Amino acid sequence: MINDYGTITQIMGVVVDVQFSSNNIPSINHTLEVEMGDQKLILEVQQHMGGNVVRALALGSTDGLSRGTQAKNTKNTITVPVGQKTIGRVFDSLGNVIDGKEPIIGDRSSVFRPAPEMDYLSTETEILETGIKVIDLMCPFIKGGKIGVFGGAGVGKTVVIQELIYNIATKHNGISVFTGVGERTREGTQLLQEMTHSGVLDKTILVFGQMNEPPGVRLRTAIAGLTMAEHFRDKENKDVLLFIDNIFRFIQAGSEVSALMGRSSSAVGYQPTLASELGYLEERIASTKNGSITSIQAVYVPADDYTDPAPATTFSHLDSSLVLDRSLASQGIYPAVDPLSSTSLGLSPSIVGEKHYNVAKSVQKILQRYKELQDIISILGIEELSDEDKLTVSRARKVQKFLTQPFQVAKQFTGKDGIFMPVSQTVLAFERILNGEFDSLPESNFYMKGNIESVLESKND
Amino acid sequence: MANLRETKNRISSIKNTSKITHTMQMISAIKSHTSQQAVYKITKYADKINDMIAGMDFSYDFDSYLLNNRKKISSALFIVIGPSRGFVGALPANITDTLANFVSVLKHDNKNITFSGIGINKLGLKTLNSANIDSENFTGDSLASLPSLILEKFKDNLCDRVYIIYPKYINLLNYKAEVKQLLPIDPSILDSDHKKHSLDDTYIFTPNKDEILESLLLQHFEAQIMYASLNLNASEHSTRMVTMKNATDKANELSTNLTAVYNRQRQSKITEQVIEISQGNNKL
Repeated sequence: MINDYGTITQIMGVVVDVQFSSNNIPSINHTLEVEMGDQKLILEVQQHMGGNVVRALALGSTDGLSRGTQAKNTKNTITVPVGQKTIGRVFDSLGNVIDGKEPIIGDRSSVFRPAPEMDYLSTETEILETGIKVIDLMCPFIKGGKIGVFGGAGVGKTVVIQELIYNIATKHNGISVFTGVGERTREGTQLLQEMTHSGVLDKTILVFGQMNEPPGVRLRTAIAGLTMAEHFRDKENKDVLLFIDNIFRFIQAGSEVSALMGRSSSAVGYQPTLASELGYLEERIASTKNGSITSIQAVYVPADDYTDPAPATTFSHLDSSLVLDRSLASQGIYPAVDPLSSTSLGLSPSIVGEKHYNVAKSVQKILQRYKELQDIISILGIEELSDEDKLTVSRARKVQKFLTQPFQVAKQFTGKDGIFMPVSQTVLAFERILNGEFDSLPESNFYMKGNIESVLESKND
Repeated sequence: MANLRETKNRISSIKNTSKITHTMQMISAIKSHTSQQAVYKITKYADKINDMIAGMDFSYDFDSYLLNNRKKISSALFIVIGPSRGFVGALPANITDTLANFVSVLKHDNKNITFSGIGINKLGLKTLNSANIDSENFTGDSLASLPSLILEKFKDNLCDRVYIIYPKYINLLNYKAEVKQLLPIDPSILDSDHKKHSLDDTYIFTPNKDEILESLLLQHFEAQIMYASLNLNASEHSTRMVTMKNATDKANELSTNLTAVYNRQRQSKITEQVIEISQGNNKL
């Protein structure tokens, strides 16, 4: 019907105003289609301007678009394919397959869905073993929990996420969904290749909306991937792993959209709707009584400032926060997880057990003491410390070194194979270090080692 | 921004530390001057006695327990003079290392040797403890009562050798931890260019030889203890001066760096607020 069409009246970057006839105004979040040569440009309605004009956001390049072009009201929101057919495939934010294979015909679901009802939520407290010492010991992940990996530029967030994919997703029986939001396209390609190689791809869905995409697309990538994950949770009662790299890019895209829409900006230039946008996404990532979504999200911290509204808002949504620290990375401590700022709900005696909890707390205590002594050491020198403090410092340095670990995904840099450390061994090893069993070993022996046996072996070198 | 206040607190605490270290540096500078003079004086005195004893031929029938060179060493007593206070850099560590090395040499040369020690100042005792030597702290008011204490032990055969460990003062920047044999006095190992003379050729003794020689040896023994103690003083003060100077420099550097960080944080906060205000203004 001709009535389904509107006319473009204004184009400002990716913001497009379309005029409709008064009886056919598209609803908010519904999409419009514009024919551009042999391609279709999708617009998403954001605002009703009055005078039958809607303001829409282009989910694609507006190059070559001109005023007066007809836009078709699809009377539907963005939809993505869901179900078994999606497994092993790669999608963009609009649900199109981008791995060059045949398109998917079948069930589709709108990306806009409500968060699960309160009484459906589950509060399971089972620990998810990651095989990474510092994570399992200091910041244990909870199955079905939400985990954030915070860090500034270049401290190794993506490497940690990829190692987690390698360690967990390969052992995980359910489905994994990876969404690349606003990150490097190269990383996405690399991930796809590695997954194809290791055979994980057969139980993984990849959704990409990387840096090259317009803000509207990046704003929808996370929820597109989430929608696919939700289907497995709700309809097939499965446990799903959801990786998002990077939540900050989602917020950033929201900020761009907000500015383009002409909303006045809030603190530090972010969108005034920051909290509700993030809340909408984060509240949907939840575990219900039917199935669970364990999400691991990378969060970029602009200028290493954790008080920045984007990371600060994200913090409050998470069960576990893994904080990567630049000063550790510069000392060569990889993964550069800061054991003092990383927190987890899982680290409580009732969940991880009395022993694990005590060891983790002692590690925190000794590292805290070391941190306090650092000013004294840098001014007066280590000689001036009491014997007790000297011992604390030497043990703390060993603990710090032993918290490092070679990563499988970083093999090309370290030349070492990744190591999976069972939690029980990790706890035992740190207990022994704290008890002073290895006081006689030089601290360099503890660097980039897996289990404590390999530390003892290097003694004989 | 909580960070800003934290940085400010750190800066002020580092500045306070640097004030303290600077003051300690000044005090040590003065003290090191006077203690340096004392070292020069005692060195002259000790050298003179050294020369006298080294120059004497004791091979005649003079016999004193001070000279009694026991062949078999079954026990040794260490006197460790440690600095009176901390903040002396690696000085205690150097003394500890020297002692440990010496102990291991002795152990190697003499089987079943036992050790005991007297620590002067807490740090002296600590050194002995770290070498696992059963020892007591010297509790006398001044070092004047130390010689008699040692002599008694030596006389009673509680120890066959008495060694003193102290940092020998070289100059303001240098000292060297040394071990010296105090008892028995062995003229053959004393440092001197003097040739051996027959006693009667060089000196005339009144009232009699034995008494004079005995007291001379005692004087020498006491002078050695005094020498070690004054050397320690000078080394301690000069080392503290240098250590505190380094500490002050480092603290100042740290506070300069932190101030830069603080200013940057503060400025970025201001910039942020100005932008927000002007943006808000634009909207109105």
